[in-house]
Amino acid sequence: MIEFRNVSKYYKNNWLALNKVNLFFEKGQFYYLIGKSGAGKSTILKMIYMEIFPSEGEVIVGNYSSKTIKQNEIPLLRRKIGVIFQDFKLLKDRNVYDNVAFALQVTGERYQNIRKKTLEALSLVKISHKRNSFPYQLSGGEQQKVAIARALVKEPFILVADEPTGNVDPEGTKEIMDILFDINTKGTAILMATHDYSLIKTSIGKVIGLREGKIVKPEDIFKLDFSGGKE
Amino acid sequence: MIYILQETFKGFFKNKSMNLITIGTITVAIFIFGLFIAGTTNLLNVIRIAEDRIEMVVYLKDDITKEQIENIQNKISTILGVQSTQFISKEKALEQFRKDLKDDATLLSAFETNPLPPSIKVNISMAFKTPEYLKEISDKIKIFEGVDDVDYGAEWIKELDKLVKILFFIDVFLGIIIIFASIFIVFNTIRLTVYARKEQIDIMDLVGATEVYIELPYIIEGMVYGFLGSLISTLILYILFETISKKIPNLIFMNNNAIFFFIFFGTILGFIGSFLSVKQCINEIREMKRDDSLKRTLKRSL
Repeated sequence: MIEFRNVSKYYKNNWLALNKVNLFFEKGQFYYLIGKSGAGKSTILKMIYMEIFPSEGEVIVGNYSSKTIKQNEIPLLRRKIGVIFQDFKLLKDRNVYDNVAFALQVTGERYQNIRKKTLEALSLVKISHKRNSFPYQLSGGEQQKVAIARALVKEPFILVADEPTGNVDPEGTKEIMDILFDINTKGTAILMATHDYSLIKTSIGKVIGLREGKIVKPEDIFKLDFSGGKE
Repeated sequence: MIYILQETFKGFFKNKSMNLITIGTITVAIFIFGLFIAGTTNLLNVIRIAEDRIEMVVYLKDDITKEQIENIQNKISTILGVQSTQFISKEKALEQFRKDLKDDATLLSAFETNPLPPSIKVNISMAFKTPEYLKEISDKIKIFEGVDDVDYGAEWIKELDKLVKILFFIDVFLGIIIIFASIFIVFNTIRLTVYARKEQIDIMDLVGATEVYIELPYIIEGMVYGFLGSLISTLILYILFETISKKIPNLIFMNNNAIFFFIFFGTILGFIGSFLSVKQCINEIREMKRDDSLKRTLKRSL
């Protein structure tokens, strides 16, 4: 479904963010991508929705390859990938309902389907009751739920989450994680990047460790330090 | 489609004062341009009427024979640009002169003989009434035997021609300034609108909106500015001409085609301004986003 073949990424100043990474993500699975800040987690996620491209190697997502995809095909690819972030990225001037419906409106969804799909996505993340609230009236956890609803409304085959609980309190974190598991059991693959080790301990899912742009062997993962910086 | 129109509408009403300034500037710019075009059209009309009256008179020598006259007339008729010729005898010329003088005709009795030479009036086709052609035709006629002189008002035709050229130059020059000014103001307004909705564009990119959905609302917005600006300026021009034409008759206002062209012209200017702006701004926003996240990543890794 998603494959990384010998992927390396150099940024400016020849800084190596990813070093010959090989990965394979299967349908319907739950993956954690762990590693401290700057290990290359975000780079991997961005390569999946093709915001950045490998300097070497190839990323294959569904029928698209990073080597051959055309500029006008990228939007089509992104309609099949849900993305959520630490900072939610909601539109402040729109209420919850409109934020979710937005994803359908701008991708040419038929007008009569928008309402139904939006309400379904909102109930899936249990935020229907706040559909008329604006983002500033919501807690971090609630905002992230709206972001998840927006990502799901297009029925993606994978949900890519970049530190989704980074700005959410512990209670909200549990709720978010429950929602992600719930979505996963319904068949959507999840790839969640995090440096919060405690999340992994309490849940099932495949764990991929990253250190300085390299994949770390599963048995070495737990040798990583997640306390936030020092190694 | 509904979304695109909604967005255009929103953008239009979100920043009212800026939008009014934009429309106002375009209105003024196109109004000035329209004023010059209308002025030029009217002056050209006057010039055309004057040119229509241009005629060439070939003065013949006094002792010319009838055969020679016929011969010259035939030769003149074959010259390119000559429509027709008409012989005016000494007697006819005198009669005409007498008519022109009216009450002062008695002055002519001072002459013992008819002082006027016989002549041939030459009608020139409209397209050949330029200084260059007129000179060419007159040069050809001058060398015919029996021809004394050719007169076609060489000097004032040159002046008229110069005036037309200057007017045309001013129009073109002004047109270019107006084009750039209008494009520039739309460019900047749309730039502000696009930047104000940076986050929205970011999210649209993320959820897989195509370029059409991202860019079209802004492009339409720019076209609306151009459309309204030119519509208002045409209206003002029309009212102005209606008022003036009551005092000066025979004034020509733009015809329907020209009005249509004017409004179309304004809309196109709006389109060009917003199109260039959107393309540039959205690329800038994407570039900025990439730089931003790169900086953050670099910072974290250090």
